[in-house]
Amino acid sequence: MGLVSLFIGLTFVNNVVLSKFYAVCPLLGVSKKPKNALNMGYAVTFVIFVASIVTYVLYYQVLKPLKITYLDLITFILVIASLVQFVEMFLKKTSPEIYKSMGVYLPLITTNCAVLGVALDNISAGYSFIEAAVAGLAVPIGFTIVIYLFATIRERLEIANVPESFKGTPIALITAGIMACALAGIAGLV
Amino acid sequence: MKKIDIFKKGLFVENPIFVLLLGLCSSLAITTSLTNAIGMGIAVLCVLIMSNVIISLLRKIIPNEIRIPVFIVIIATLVKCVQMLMNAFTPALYESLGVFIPLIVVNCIILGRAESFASKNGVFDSLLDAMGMGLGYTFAVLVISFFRELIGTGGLSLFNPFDASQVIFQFEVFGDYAVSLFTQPAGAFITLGCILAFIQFLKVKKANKAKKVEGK
Amino acid sequence: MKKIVTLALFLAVIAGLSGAALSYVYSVTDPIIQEAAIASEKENLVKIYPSAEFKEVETDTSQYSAIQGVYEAEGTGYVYKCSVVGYGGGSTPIVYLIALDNDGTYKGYEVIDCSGETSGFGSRVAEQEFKDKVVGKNIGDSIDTLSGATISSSAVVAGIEEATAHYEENFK
Repeated sequence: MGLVSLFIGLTFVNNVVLSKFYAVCPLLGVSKKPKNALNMGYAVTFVIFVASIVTYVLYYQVLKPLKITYLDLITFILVIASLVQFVEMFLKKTSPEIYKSMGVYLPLITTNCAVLGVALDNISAGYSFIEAAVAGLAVPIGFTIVIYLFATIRERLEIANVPESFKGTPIALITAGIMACALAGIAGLV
Repeated sequence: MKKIDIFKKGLFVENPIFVLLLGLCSSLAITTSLTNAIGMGIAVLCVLIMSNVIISLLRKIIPNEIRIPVFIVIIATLVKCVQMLMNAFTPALYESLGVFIPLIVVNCIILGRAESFASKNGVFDSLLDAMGMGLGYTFAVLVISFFRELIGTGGLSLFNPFDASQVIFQFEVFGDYAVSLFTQPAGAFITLGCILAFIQFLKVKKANKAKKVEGK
Repeated sequence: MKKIVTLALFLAVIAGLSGAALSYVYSVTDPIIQEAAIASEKENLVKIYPSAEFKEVETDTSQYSAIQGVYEAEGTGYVYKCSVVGYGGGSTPIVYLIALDNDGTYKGYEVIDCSGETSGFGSRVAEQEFKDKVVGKNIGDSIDTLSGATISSSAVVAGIEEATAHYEENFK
């Protein structure tokens, strides 16, 4: 599959959040302010990109040759947890304001379905190394776009006239549903 | 807290999906059919019970600084075992739940209960908490699947997870008017949004009633 | 320093125990999973090697478009499941099993599906006449096609040649 269509496919058509349902928790949690959403996006992009590459190499160079592929879950999640820890320490040292604004959501990247999900999907889809790396970039970029858009919409929703029962999370979910509809419309693109 | 309350809170008042808003990824993805919902619900219940019990047993000896990585390793081991067992004994369910079985590892419910309850309470209490939360999760995904499958395909069906060809029940209500949007991602968001809105509606009603009583 | 060592040690012990648990569950479930994977082919595989234990082999067959699956009959040989386009076209390929025995001959040949071939002509690839041209021949020897069923039989032969090439590359 052409790398470009793989990229577009994963970023938009099979968008990780709206189509594959990974990363829904941070979607609802972080996206009240566009700036926070963008920071989260950067952090997640770094983690997923590096994690995709490292887990891929580990799986094919270590686990498979030694026939211990059943250790994949443990090794992947430990790699991800360490990466997130590293990002946390890095942010704490270099930009404490960003670190503070992200709060508890930063360590929660470890439990972000998207990171583990992409690592596992790369293997089960039989991607080559380059394809896995492209996926590791395309998926989080798609995630970033979605949560940024989402944050801007939620800002507007705060001041809009929403019925009492729908205020907050319910209307946010309906919005996500409408965005997902829009995406479904371009499904034939790749 | 009374023992029975520990168990009950996971079902409604602190329902992991509808109230705590944890574990949404899997609940949106697999709720396309009742069979999937029950299968996933049972898997999550099993993992939750085992992880809460094990972590509660070990809580006094796990060093505080590395508790999160230790929890994660334990949970990952349990989930992988469940995955291998499902692959062997319930292959149809394994195929349809797919990647969301290993994703139980990052299901916030499991780690969340381990961190906030099992690591601080006794084994029996942790067991009750796990059962309550697990059943609450199963109940929630069943409700979501009920609506998605009914409106999305026009009918309901339930298959034996161990033998995909065995139908427990299957009936169609209004095949021609099915809105297939509901079996797709967009439908999942909308369904959950409406269910949460309904719950919020009930809460608001209760609060208004309380205000009226106070006002008098 | 001592603190970090104890922490690391603890984590290592937990990881070790987990590894042991996983290894045990794997050893229990893997045979069942393997069995299920070949269950669908089993009824055809036993026609060739009635008493052998079969295992699906994971191998790279990306250069061989005809090879659908590779099964090892433990201790005896390898069975290839091939799918080739015959007279019936791509929608109804000819699907068959060809066994390459450790003794250096084609030990078995069974057609699973040739419904797309003309009955009486191409369908002869499923019959004893063609089977006799294959079974018993040394691996690598050329196989004669059927006159009057050239398209179907040459497709089958081409598939056997691919299986042979893969076999010589991987298992010889």
